[in-house]
Amino acid sequence: MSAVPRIVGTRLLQAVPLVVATIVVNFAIIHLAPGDPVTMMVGEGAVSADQMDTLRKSLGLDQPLYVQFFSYLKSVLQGDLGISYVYHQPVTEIIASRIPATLLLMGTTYVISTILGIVFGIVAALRPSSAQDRILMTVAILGYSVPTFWLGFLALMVFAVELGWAPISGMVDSGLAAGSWEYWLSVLRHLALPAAVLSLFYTGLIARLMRTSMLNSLRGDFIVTARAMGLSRWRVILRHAVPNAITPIVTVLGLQVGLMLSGAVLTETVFGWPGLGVLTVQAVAQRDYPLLLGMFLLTSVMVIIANVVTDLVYLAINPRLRGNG
Amino acid sequence: MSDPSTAASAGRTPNPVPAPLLDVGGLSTELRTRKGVVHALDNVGFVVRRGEAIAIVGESGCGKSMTARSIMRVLPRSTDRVASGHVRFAGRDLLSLSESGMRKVRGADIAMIFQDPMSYLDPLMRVGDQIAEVIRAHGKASGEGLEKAVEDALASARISDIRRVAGSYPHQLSGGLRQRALIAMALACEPELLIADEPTTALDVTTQKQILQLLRHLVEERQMGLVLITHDLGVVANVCDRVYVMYAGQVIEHAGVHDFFERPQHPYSRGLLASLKSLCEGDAHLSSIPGVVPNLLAPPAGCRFRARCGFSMDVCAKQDPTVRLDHGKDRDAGCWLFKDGSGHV
Repeated sequence: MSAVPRIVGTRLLQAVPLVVATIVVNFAIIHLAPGDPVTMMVGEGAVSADQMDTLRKSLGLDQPLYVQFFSYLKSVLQGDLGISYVYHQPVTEIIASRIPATLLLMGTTYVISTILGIVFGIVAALRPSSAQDRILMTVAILGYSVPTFWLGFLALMVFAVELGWAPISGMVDSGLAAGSWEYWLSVLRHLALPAAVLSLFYTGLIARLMRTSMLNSLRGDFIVTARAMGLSRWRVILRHAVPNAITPIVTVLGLQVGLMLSGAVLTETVFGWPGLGVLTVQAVAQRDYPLLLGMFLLTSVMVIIANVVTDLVYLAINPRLRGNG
Repeated sequence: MSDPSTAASAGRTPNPVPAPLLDVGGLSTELRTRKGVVHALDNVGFVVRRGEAIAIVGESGCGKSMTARSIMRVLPRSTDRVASGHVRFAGRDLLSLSESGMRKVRGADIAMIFQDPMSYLDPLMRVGDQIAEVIRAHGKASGEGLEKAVEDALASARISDIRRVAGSYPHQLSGGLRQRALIAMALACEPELLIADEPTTALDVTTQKQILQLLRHLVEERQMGLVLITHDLGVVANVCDRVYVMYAGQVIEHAGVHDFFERPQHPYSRGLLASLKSLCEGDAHLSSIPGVVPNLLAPPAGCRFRARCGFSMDVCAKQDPTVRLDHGKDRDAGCWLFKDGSGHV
């Protein structure tokens, strides 16, 4: 009767080879990149070549690359991402410990920027070329063209250093009992600046897209019908123009989820936010292969999952994709 | 120059006619574009009576659709405006109504259907919900009565598979069913006047015929007025009682359908019919009217058809003949051939 189960099944099955391919590519990229983890671990010239060989052997780095790959693939499929060279802890544990911070920052940003972006896009499109349109779109263009790290520094200078309204770094003041009111208040104060800076970027992006999509939708023939049938202006806008304008935006919103979950590398670094972005930067600097591979894998899998979910959401909101059920 | 009183005295028709349902006169619409003001409509006028179907014919861009949208006051852009004229519907001037007053007229007293029923229906909404929305907007039914009202509307558009159509999205229906669904939406609040803008252009010939029969049936059964906008003279002959011909934003001729096909007056109308005849008779050489439509950013003085006309005279360059077109007469043409003693009328 309906094509929906088949479409859902196909999309899920397609994701599997994609994940495997991602693992292969990630592994290849890291091992082709210059730099030696053993040198990074012990520091140059500090130990003898013999000791370095021993270390290399204990990490399995003396094996041929394909052997290393298959042992890596095998453990990944068992849910084991290996032990970090630097932290000497399972990679999964390290990553898991950082997920809440990133989820908090990116989740807040995502909700704020999606709502504001869509609202601003609609408001701008309702009166193209008017003052409200020009002001909103100027801010939007600035928002996503100014580099976030620069804006982050600026925000820190003004609001943290000069005015002292916000803390300079971190996610929470130390010494507070986790879960207490004071704890969450402190988290909120730390969250405000990085979330605002990131939201400006994503709001600008979404507002621009939404404006274009809304203008297209308002030009649609079905809008003429709705007006000619005597529906009120707001009903025409909210019930017909907006849903048709949001449908194409959903694709972009979905892809953003995947990218956001891997953390905002620059913003997290500027604000000292203890999330996945900072972790990635550290792993790169220290050639912590297992950790880096773990991060790449997480990012890739998140993007793939977000893609599949986006497709399914799109299927749910756009009846044209569901066939003649 | 002729005696100014002749037009008025000749315009009196002997038998009393009921007041028209729709009386449009002097309608001029301006569209503001980057290149300047486009005079899309100039002094357009026509009348529609209850139980009567009129046709507005003309080529693309002549202002047929703009006429419909000016009457409904749903012009494409907010900067477009009706500059002058009157649109009297059942005694009220629609142009002087407030926007909310006009909204109550749209869809309830006057409804409109369009050329491409796919793009004119909301692709994300079930057909039944779109019809229900119109009924609810005009307060014709609500709650439990709503479903019944939707089914009645679909039935009045002669849709047999009511349940399936109501529950379908537009893309799941055939072109003919989509047009019927749009007609059902238009009929849902039992309007007195239906404006159909090229309603069959996107349909195949068989479906086209069924839709036209349906429209004609509605005119007769409900004593509804119908304005059929088309470039297809075959459609006109089948459905309409009277014909208005538009050219470059003006009405240039009006006549009863029989008179029009037997003896078209305006050279443009003759050209239109000649091209239709050559098409029907399968002439090797297709008859067409030479030249192009004038630019409406700066319409020429005098007759707008002058440059393409084989009968052009001195007066045609100086004075616009459509100004003198008399809507009181049974038929008239905005052409100096019929105004200055040189024609038949």
